[in-house]
Amino acid sequence: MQTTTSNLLRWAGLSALVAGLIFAVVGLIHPPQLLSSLNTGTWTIVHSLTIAMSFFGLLGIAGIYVRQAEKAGWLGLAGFVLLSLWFVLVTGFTFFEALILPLLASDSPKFAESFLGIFTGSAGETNIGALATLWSLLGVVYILGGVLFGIATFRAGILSRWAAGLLALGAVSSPAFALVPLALAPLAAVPVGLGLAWLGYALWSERRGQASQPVPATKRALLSPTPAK
Amino acid sequence: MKITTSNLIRWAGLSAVVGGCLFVGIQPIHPPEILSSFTTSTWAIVHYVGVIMCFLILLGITGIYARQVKEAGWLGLAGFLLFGLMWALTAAFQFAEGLIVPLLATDAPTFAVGFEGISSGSPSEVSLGILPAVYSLTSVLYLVGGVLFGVATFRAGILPRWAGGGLAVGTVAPLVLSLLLPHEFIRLAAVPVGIALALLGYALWSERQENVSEALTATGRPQLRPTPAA
Repeated sequence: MQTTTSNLLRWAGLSALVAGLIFAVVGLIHPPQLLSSLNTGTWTIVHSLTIAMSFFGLLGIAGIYVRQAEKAGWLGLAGFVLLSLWFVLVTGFTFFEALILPLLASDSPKFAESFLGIFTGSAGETNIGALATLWSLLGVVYILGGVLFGIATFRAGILSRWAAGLLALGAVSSPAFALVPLALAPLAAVPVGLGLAWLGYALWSERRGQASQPVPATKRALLSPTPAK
Repeated sequence: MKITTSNLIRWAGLSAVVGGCLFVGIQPIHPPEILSSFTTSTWAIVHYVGVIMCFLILLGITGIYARQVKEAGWLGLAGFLLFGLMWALTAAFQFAEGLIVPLLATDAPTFAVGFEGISSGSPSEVSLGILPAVYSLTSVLYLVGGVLFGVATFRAGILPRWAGGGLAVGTVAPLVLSLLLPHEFIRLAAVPVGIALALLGYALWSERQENVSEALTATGRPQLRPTPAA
């Protein structure tokens, strides 16, 4: 198999599919944000999966964006850059949660508890600096990135509009989950995850359609008959 | 300005230029990895900039790769993925160094010193779990990814070959330099890689006019061909 642009876009689609599915699921199996969870197997698995999700997500949305770059316009570019930034910064948080926080559970439990307080909204005893502010900012980047990317994809009309709509609606509705009981909050990620996975699937399964696309303008020019005089 | 694929690739080039320059620029101002440095503002700034640098380089190498997908082949794809994964992991390390280590300097100083000792190979007094192994993995990804991406770029022959070759050679240079130089100078080994990335980025950025004229000749010629008199 050759590494052609269309093959790469398909693989990027697969990558987005995997990232979306992981994103939809990790919230649901995430252990409670307690000190006693930090050294459990589930904690390690959930956070390792999230790191993988970020890397696949980066490759995936790059593919989805490239497929529709011209039609998605400035809105699409803004959404793509914001979502990419979100994936990179989430890797930072998750890397810390997966590899460092479990070690701090015994070395500095107060710090670990204060850090976990970011996600439950409870203030800890230790100063956690700019981390809480950065986490809130990240929420804004996620919502804005998801909405812009979803709308731009919807408007571009190249990939499934249903999937794009789901992504945008999922992102814009996520603040509403702050109003539901904490146990239901992880459901906020499900529509966004499924929207991303669906867009990935659309990109992955697009090949046959592309093959029957009309001949590009350059070729058409070559084929245009010379009018008889 | 309209968003076209060729414009996007140019901006990705600019991103690689800035990312590569930052990679070179942060090396001489990076404070020593000792406890008293962790709470300084230079420490914070260098690592915040480090996260931004990784993000810009990720966008940059995506553009460099996109420009030569077909010609770079499997070698290019492997290099892009490995090198990309390395920059994503480096962003995570930079994030921890910039935002977590300064807080741990007062709450858990032994851990902070142990964590910062990973890069120099200093033994830690506390358990660091699999962190040293992940750091080693990052180094392997840097070496293998950088060499493959550089060689593939060299072979593809679309961007300047000496910049691609420079990336490959610059990536393995620390292996040799680490035998010759003391640890405090090893940061200088980043300089050729940063310069090579910036040069590849510049090549992408400045390619527009040739691209445009190429595109014009390709699409324009058939339409302009005179119709022979019947």
